[in-house]
Amino acid sequence: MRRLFDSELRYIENVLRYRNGGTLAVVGEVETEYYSSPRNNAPTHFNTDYFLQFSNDLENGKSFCAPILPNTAGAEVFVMIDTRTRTLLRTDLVAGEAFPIELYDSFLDNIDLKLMALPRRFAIRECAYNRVFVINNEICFLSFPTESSPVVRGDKSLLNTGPDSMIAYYTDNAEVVCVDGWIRTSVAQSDWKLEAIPK
Amino acid sequence: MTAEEELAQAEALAERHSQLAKEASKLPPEQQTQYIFEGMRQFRTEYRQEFLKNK
Repeated sequence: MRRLFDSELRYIENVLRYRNGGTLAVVGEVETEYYSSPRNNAPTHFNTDYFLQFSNDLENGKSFCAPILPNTAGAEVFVMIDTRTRTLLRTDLVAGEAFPIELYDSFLDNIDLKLMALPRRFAIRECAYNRVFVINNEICFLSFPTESSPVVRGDKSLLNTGPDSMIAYYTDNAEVVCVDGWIRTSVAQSDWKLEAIPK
Repeated sequence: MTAEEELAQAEALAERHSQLAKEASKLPPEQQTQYIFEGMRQFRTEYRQEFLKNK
């Protein structure tokens, strides 16, 4: 069992806001979680599929979804809530690897810029595990330099917090083991959508 | 796709996810992501074919 990382709660709220799904009244702890291996045999885990489940009772669950990259279709994150109690039940990333890391370049540059304030160099593109979602004009990211899936360890510190961003980092033996946060960004909506065609 | 068509697609995807997640939750965790991935892929393919047919 673990509590959500800040970026996880933020993207979940963003999906609900994006789809007019209302707000959450109850956010429990993660009861079950599972992370897939990369489908494309990539050496690092970038937006690999996963699920987090908060309750075993999904009977009254209703899902909402959003593309994880603006102006695209085919890589979506889903959030399931109990609409009567406004309780978070589950979240799934499905086909997250449909679009390569290169398409996220401008957003990663944005993150890099903020992470320059870290006490140690942190190369986000070299991380063993990266999750980057751009939903509702916010970049939500969770990155681990050495872990291939999210693990809660180390001491949490805040790098910055404000109306336009919130970034936390975790250190263990003076090493940065995780960065977790969100940054407000602006996204131009296009009439054209890049679509991942199912094979 | 118009904004209305996109919204309809998003709602259809979400509805299908909800069904698949309820089914998948009875499986071991290591099978759940693959079950939902395959189910969504099939649904997306069928939805796309139906959409193009009706255009």
